[in-house]
Amino acid sequence: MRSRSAVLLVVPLVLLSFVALGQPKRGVKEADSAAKDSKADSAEAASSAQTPSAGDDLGPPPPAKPAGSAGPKPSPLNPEANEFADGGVQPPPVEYDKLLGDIAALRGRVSALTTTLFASKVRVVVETRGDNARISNFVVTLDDGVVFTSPDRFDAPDERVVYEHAVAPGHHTVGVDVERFDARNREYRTWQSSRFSVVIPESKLVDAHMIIQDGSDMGKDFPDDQDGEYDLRVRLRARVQN
Amino acid sequence: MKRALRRRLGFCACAVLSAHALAFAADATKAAAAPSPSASATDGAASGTSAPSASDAAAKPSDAPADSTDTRGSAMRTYQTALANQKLAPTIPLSVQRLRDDLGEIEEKLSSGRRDEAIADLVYLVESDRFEAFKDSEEGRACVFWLGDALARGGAFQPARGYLTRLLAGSPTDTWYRRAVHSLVDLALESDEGERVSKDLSGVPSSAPDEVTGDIAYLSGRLADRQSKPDDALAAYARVSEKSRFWAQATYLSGVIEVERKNYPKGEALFCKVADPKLTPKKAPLFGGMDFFRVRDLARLGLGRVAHEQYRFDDARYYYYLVPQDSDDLPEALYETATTRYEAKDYDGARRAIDDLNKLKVNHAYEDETYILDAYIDLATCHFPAADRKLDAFLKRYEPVRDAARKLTQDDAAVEKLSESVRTGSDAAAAGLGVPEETARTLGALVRIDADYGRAARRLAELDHQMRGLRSAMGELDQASQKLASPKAVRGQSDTPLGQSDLDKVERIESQIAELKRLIRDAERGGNGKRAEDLDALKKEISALEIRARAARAALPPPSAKAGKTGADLAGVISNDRARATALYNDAQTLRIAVEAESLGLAKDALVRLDRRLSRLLRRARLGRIETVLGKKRSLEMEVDALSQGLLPQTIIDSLDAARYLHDDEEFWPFEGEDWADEYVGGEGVR
Repeated sequence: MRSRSAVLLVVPLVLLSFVALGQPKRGVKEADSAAKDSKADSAEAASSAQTPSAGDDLGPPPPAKPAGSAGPKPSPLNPEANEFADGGVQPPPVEYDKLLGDIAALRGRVSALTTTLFASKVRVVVETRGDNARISNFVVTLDDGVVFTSPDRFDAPDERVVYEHAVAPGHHTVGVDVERFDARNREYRTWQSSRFSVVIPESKLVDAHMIIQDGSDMGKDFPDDQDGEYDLRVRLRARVQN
Repeated sequence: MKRALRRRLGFCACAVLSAHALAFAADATKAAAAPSPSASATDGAASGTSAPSASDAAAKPSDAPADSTDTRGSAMRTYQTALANQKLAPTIPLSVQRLRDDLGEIEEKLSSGRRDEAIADLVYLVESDRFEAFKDSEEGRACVFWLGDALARGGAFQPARGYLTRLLAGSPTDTWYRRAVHSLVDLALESDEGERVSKDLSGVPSSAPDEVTGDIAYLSGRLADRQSKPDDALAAYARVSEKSRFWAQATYLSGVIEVERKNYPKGEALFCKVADPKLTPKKAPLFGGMDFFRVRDLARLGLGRVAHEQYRFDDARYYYYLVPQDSDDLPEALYETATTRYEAKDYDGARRAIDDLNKLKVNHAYEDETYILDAYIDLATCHFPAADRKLDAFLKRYEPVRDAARKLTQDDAAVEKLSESVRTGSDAAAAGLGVPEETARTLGALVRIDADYGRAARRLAELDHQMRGLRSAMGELDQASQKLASPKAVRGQSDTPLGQSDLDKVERIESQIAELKRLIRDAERGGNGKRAEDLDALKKEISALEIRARAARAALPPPSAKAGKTGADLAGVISNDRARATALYNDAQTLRIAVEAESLGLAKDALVRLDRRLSRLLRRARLGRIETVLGKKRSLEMEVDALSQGLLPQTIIDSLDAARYLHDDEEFWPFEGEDWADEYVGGEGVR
């Protein structure tokens, strides 16, 4: 009887000792797991911060959700915070405003000076033709300095003066850069750059009448039968006004 | 949803409420799309000359401090004196009638986009000694206003403030006083000059008309908002009267602040004031113009979001429904209606909203998310094959888009082209990105260009515009010098052939490199593994060429002028200004690098954010496909269970219905004729 009770006592003790031995060393393991967690967090933060590479299939893993947050679970279709712009545009450099002010003022007074000094003048008149052509970008240059940039859409079915100013008598280069697209099919676009040399006589006004013509049928014909034509013309007629 | 709500309201606040100011700067922005001019004439004139150092005191760009309202008028008066000394000054006296006539022409020039010419005409008038006698007349004040306003639209804020603040010395009821305040407020909202303009306006009395004080109060509110001072902002917005053009914006933004503070009833009440015509003051739409109705749409969306946030799904649906059919915000309203109905478990309602959205057939910023939501509605209604089909289509369509977005971030030229195409609303497929057309268009629709990019791009455009004009001015100064040296001489033809200056050549090289990169992207798209190795070698060559092109641009000689006379006579003044122009051009070139880098960084950021969004949605689509498989399995299990209990599935019962086998374009007409019993044959004699 005694021996049986002794066995009954010893067996649980032995089992308990195994249990105690099998338990982890609390301090060390907790520190280990904390270190692992912090490593995982920092790795995750790093991966979320870095830009995904082209070879990466699905990009960086999604940012970790805070565990046990109160309230209803947000919809998985909600965008993540890092998908929004941070609105952190830098203000312009200090000298930006000053520089722009200086340049604009200088241009203004140079222009006023030439008005006084030169009796010769050039006037650039533009006329656009073509029912289906739309001009998306239109720039007029004089001696390769830009003197007119069109607003969003430029259209001048009737004659339209785009520049008139005093210039030195002699040779000048009038230029036009025009970008057009077909109203019937916007995929068909053209870019054209033309330069014309004109001579301005002393104390005279020269009327440079520019006709921008577009008789293209690419937007209509090419999609139908794979045969179309671009027909772009820029004509300039210079005439001294008496 | 909470985070999304706040973010979205915030987005609206910055992107849409600056619509007025965006229109204000549209001209300058447009100039960005203009092709870069070559510089043959000015460079040609300068290329053969030795470049003098700009060490001359006169060559310093300006002595004006950074925060200045100096109009630089003294330089113009120096010209006037020099011209008068040479008996070249205009002798015809000014008169009110002449000013009136000139103003008509100037206003016509401004309305037809000839702003630079108008500025020149106005400087000629306003900076003349003869103008002193007329400066306080109606016409004189009009001249000063138009000059300040035109300069502000061209980005020259310092001289613009100088001219516009001159008008604030008059009576607040004067037309030009009021217009000057409006112009200054527009300038402040659009630029980074807010604080300075606010100081300029501090002298406006509180007894000024409501429209004037309303503008100033709105500006104060926006500035306080930018500085994260919501209490100050709310107080300022409350001072904006219904007679101000900004009443709707101020009320809406007050609502946004209240919602951000989670004070939903108050926020809702403020939104209602704008959204509900019965609660809106009668004069507000009249003074607000077109912008008022855009803000009204936003207020309705805001109401919907607040209701959604509070799980009042039916209210949310009602508010979204109020967004009119012709509104730009309609796709957003329909998408959010679908989301609301989905969360309310009204899947039929969600399906109807998605169908309405798809019927619009417009590209919108929620295209990708709509796809996923559409599939998830099918999942929720146990239409597993349909959901699977949609998710599969999403993966096939958007994976290439996501990959293209990643690739484009590595190519600065392509990023610029795409951003410009999105900003100007042109077809992204025509931007030459080197990706399939459909992918390019989808990219163009999905990239959400924020207001910051618009501001950075506008700065670059303004700088480019002024630099191009400066080239022209340098040429004019050279001609003026020549004219003074030999009055009978005529301008000769440029030695440099047209389009053959060094700058022209560098620009052509850069465009060729950009085109080569596009061709390589095209080749990569259609190539196999073997060809990819050849392409790698080509890419290395292009990288080397790029470095050489950059070096060539850096080595371009700055436009310079011959060393001319110095002194107070006209030739000396012109020579000083020519040297000053050279120094300004060089400074502008240096500054341009910084401004361009900022603009490009923001454009790339938009692409990186798109990549993140698409990656999230692609993950969601793949998870959705797993759910479709599980759903199909579960539905089969249920069918088997039902069969084992003797219940036939609906699919079998319906198999006897003829209409079930018809296609969408077919119609079933059941027999509707009369049944004649006496004509019945075939049964006779049968027992």
